[in-house]
Amino acid sequence: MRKNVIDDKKVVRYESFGGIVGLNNPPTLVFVDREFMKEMGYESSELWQQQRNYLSAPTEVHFNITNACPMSCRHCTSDSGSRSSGDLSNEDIKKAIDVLSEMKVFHIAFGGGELFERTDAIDIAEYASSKGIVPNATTNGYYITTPLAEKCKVFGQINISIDGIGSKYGVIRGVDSFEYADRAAKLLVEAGVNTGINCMVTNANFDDLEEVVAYAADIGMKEVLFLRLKPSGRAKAIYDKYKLTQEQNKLFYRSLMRMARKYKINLQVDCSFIPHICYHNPPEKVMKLLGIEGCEGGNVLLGVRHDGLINACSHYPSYYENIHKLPHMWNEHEHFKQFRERHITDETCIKCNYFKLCRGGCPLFSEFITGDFNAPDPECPIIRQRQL
Amino acid sequence: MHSRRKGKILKVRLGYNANSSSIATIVSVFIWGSAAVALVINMISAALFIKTDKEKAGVEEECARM
Repeated sequence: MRKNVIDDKKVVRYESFGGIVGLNNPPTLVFVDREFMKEMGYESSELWQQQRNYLSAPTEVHFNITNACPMSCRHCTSDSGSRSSGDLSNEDIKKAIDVLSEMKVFHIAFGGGELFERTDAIDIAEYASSKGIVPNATTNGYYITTPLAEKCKVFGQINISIDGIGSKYGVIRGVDSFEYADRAAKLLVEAGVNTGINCMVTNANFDDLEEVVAYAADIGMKEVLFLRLKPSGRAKAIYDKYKLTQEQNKLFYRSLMRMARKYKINLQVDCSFIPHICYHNPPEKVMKLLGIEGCEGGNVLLGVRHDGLINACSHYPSYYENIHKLPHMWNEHEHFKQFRERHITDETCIKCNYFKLCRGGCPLFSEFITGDFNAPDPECPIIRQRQL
Repeated sequence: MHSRRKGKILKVRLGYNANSSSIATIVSVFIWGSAAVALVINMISAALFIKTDKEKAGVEEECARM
């Protein structure tokens, strides 16, 4: 098997609690205390004099480098499709990467639209890598060819969007192009690129999730990431029709564990699924040690739109300043504070054993369904149970 | 020897998140059990110090050549 070009160096960033060490082999971010930093030979930092409840910079940036996409799927959460005149130039994207590199961001997940609509996507990823940031990516696979797959070894990992196998691929997205996704998946795996699947979970494919996991395991992919359908972008219009039922919300975790035992492949969920996980009382210690937590928008995460505007989470409908203002905005802007200091007052939620880890679930759902950013996720099975 | 370390790993995030719109966490770890997770944390701790020692050795070797 040919190896990825990602090297095995470590990158260290100071934080008020100590520091974060980024490893590529195995790919891990390790949060350590001050004593650990000293024992690794690092001097004291000015940050160690500070008491702060958020990171010095995001660890992960979601950077949509174009709005263009050849597919126009119904469940697209970024409403992409047509090429926008607002896409950043190659030079501006590199300047933005310089800003993120200065702040010691560890990972960038490039997306769009479809990132390979840009012929300079590999050049951009190589630039990020040269600046010490691991580039990752989400693609629909449409443009992946053998030569491009070979170049994709610059990425730490690439995920392909697949919500169903064969004829089930297009049920939600309304676009039937499984052949492209299937070809891309096989070419990337063959090239030795760490490859996974992004699978949007809806009531329509809930019973067929195992087929997706079996497919991924069968062709040698590394993992499957299950994404919750979000009322964001174009998906807002189909959200009510395709969201999981309460019964499915409860069954999801058990289904995941059953598949995890059966297939030798990593299974992931996105941060908005954390309430659904907590409902089943998983070991808190494991969650804490492995950073399995709820919303970390504006702390761990930063969203960058194709025109360079930023926000705390790329699913949030509003974007604010240009990325070049990030170093100042990170500490001062109310938008980030709103995410970090969410004021949940709901008694059921704050008395839940998992509140500190779950943090009330995804505020996007709260705001969309109840109009209140600070309400707990209304689809949390525990909250829903109380309402029934 | 690093047997008397006082420093602690507070948490680790395993894997890359290739998704460009939300943060991913590996949940299949719940089938490992707490003991296996603790073992993984210890292995990562050891790996960090091995890498640090290798880097120091590399710097010393480089200095010696100059």
